[in-house]
Amino acid sequence: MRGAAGLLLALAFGGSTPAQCAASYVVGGVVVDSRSHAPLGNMRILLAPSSARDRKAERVTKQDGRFAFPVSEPGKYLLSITKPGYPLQFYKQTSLSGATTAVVVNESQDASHLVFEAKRGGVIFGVVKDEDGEPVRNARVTLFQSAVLSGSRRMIPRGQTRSNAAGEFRFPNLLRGSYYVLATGSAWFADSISGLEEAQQFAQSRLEVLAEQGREANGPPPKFSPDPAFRGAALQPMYYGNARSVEQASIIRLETGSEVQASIILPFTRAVALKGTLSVPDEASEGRVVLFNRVGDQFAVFMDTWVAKDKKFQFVNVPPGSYIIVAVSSAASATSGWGLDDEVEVGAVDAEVMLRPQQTGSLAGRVLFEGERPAPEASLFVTVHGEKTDFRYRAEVNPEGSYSLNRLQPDRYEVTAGDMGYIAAYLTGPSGERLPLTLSVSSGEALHRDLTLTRAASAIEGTVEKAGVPQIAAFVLLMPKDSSRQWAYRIDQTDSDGSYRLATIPSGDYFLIALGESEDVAYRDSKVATRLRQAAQTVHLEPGDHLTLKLDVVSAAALNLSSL
Amino acid sequence: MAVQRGLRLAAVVVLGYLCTNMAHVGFGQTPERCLLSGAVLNSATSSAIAHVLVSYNGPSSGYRFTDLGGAFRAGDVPCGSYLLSVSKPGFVSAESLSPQFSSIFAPSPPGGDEAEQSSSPPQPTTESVDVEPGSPPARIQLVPVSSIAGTVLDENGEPLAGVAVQGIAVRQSLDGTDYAPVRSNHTDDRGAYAFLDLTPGDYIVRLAGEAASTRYFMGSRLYLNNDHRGMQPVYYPNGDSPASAAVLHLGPSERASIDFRHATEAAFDIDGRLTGIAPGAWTRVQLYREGDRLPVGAAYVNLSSGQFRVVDVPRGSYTLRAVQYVADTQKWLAAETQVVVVSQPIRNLAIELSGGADIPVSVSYEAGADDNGTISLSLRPQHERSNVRHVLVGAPARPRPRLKGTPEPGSVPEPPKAFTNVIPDRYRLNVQTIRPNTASGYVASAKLGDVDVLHGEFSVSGSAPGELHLTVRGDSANLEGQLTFKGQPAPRARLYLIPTAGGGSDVKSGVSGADGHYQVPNLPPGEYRIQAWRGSPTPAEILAKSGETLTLQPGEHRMVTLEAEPAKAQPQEEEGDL
Repeated sequence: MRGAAGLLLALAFGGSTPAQCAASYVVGGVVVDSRSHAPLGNMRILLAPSSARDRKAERVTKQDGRFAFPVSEPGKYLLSITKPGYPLQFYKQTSLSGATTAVVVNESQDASHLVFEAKRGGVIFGVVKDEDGEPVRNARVTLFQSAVLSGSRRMIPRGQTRSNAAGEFRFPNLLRGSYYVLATGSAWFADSISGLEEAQQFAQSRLEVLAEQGREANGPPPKFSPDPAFRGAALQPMYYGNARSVEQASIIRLETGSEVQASIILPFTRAVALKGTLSVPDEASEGRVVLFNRVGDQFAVFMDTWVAKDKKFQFVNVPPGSYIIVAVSSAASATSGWGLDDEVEVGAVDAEVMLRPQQTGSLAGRVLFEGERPAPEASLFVTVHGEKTDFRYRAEVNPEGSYSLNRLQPDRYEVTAGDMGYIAAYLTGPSGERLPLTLSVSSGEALHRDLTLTRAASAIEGTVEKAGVPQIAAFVLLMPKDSSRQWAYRIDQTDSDGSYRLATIPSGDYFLIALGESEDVAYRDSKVATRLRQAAQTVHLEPGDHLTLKLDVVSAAALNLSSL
Repeated sequence: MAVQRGLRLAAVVVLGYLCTNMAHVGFGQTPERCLLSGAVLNSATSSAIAHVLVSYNGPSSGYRFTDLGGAFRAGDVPCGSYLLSVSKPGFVSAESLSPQFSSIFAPSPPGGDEAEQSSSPPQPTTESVDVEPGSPPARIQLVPVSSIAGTVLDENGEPLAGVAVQGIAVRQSLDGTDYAPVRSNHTDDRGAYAFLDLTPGDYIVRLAGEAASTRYFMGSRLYLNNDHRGMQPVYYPNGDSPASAAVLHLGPSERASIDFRHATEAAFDIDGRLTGIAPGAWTRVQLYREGDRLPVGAAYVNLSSGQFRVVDVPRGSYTLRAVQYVADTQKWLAAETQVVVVSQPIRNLAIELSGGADIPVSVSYEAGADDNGTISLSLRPQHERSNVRHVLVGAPARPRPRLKGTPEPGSVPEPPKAFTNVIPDRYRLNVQTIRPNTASGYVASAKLGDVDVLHGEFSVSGSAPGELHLTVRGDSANLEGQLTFKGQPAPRARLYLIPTAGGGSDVKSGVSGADGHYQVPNLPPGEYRIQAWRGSPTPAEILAKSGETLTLQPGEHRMVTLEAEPAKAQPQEEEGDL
């Protein structure tokens, strides 16, 4: 049961935690609302060691918002909370990066007077209507967030929902941020009108058959008269802000716990049919075909249909526009299934597409090392992950030091490798140029790329302070001096004792900075990076270095990064 | 979906076209031109409805949308008779409010599962109009839908998000009261739910708690962050079964506000493995609480390994049902097992699915029964409601007059006289003697093993239940006579014979002819309550009225004259014979 309070559960689990055996520490405090600072009752709290996140203990707060977990072992613990209206969040969580502040438990730390400032979820809600003001029921409403992830601003899909019979939709539990809303749907009368039109065509063809057989038809077919004011049976997909593209759409700026209305009107437009055939040799398989709208570099599901063994499919009531069409067999494994995709431009008349299987591609090359090589017995793997298909392929590096990945579906892939203290650094092209770790494999292409790994065994740790006081939840960022070394960025968020740790760092020259009030920082943006470098200290790391550095916190507000 | 619907419509329109041609063409005249116009009104408020789709089919065809004044017009159409089809979301036809005559005996099972939100296009209202020069505009009334909405709070007054609430239509039939789940909604972050487009009628509301369609997962481990809290399902206001729920009578455009405040309690997961499965086939795992007809439970199943988990089940006794439907072979697989949840999770439950049993059917004839009759049997499951089976027994179908080139008689294999692939479930048997024509006889018993399953529900478990044996007896009674209204012969009046034993099931009926005369042959002997009605009574009216008691002896031919009573519902002319 999502969102239910768990009083009995806390009692039931109390016995199974090691706490009761020898509790010598307490993780406790009070949960308050981040804006009103009022204590929050009925809050579900979970505590787990950072090294074993599935060993969860659980409590539910009373009206005073207080909680206490007896803990027997010192160490780092992750604290998270949830309750209806408050999305699952970690202690001092400030960013989407996944970096969290652990609660440090030891003799010198007081972990029993924590104040957990719970951020209430924001809500974006609204109504989808057609241009007559009629609610569009069952409309697909897709939410995107424009957010900084891994140092770059990008569009992140945040979910898709369906409107109810009143056209209403609701996205609860949202974090503060910038959002876009896209609505797509079909006119309520679309199926009825296409039924009438098909009936008309059927009657017409029937008369033609009679005429061919030399039989007398009883006069001409009844005249079919559509409504002269008919504006079309499809609905134009629209973004909030009365926009047809995400570039023209209005940004919804959502504050913590606020509710914003984002109603959308979908104009009527001409509807066409899109028929298609899959040209795949396999006769037995079935699957799904999905039509996507493109939203920046992301996709939103618009329509979907089933494709049977005859490999034919049809979308009706499609408005003109450009779409991505993807067909995936229901047995969607990388080897036995099929995954086809194409871009289609739908104009003013019915269209047909043939999706052809693309020849699979391959990627092979040598694995090289920057600096020190691993011991020859160490086993290394190269993994690629397809963006569109979500397929993963993995190959072991052979004793001769090369790798080979075959039968890759055409897609854009991210290449990772490593373990044993090594990480993938860059690919090398045919003429020795350095290439990033993403590459596109097109139909039938056999790519040859050497992959260079670098030893990433160095580490930096320490504390972040402000006038000698440890800073909790400060954002610690390590940036390579050479920004083309994209694999060498490292981030952390300080724990409750002000400590941080950056590990598996390749050797080289770096900038190191600790930011207070850390919102997500677009540190890969060149303007932002320039300002960060000016305020940062430089660090030189030799292979295997373990440095301990105390950092003074820099105010992110003082750098005025948001003005960029 | 859209294509199928279109084709069905196509068939209707072509038929209409051919018929109207026969009626109107052939006189060698140019048809006169007319104006087809009308207005669409809200039956509850008499106000105009804008943007209504009105399609017309007759000497010509087409469609119009109503304007803001609810009016539509198609000028310059050939005069003649037209069928109008009128639809708009948020409105239903007046006919959908009164039960269809064919459904008052046994309501047809709803097609598939209840929908989270109804997405199908609105059902049209059809009306035929004669368009003559100077004929007045048509007036069509649509009935606004009703709604139920509310919130669900827990014992602390906090909203409960993500719990299932079900809207269940209460339909009276002569076979008893049927409860058909028609809507299901999961509460949002405020604990709110809404059923916005209900056909006006009777409903009950069930807070089901943890109830969802079965979800599939891959891999060997399932990581869930469920909180091990659950709730006992409740029928509003606090019943544990449909019969103990408060029935909401929703008139057109009425909104009911139904709020729940319900305590949560510790709940436990049930996990295990399904064996004997068809990998990849559609699968559903659900729990039925003792005494409740509707399922609960949110289950996760791995379709290749058979591993499953049902999450957050509160204490109680349940029947766990696992069902698969293999589309390729059109075969069902199922298993039922009893589980009792007390105070801890249930682990490693092994559940073996099977294709169920085959039940051969045989018939014997007694007391002069005519063995030329054909009997239609249908086996209606109470859980897997779409899995209805039909078997014909008795005399083989008479050979039809053969066309050239068709196979010799005997080369067509006879349909098997058995119910095959009968999976564990609770069933009802429906028996109809469909071709006794002039012959006499009635089905006196239907024994499955030693149990007579002719009336009421019975269980089929995994093991073979034996043969289903029907006994047809020829010593039936006949009833004949005159139906009157205010002393005058009542044409097309209805007659009902309700057995006093058997809890209202197996009602017999007849209709009087133009002279008020009726005849009901092949009645099982026994005691009946007898009623006569003018118009279409609802099942509730029939069940509420006592009527005169009549005991028919074996082989008796009785003459009875009865005064009909007017039914509340409007007399409907279009309904034919039974």
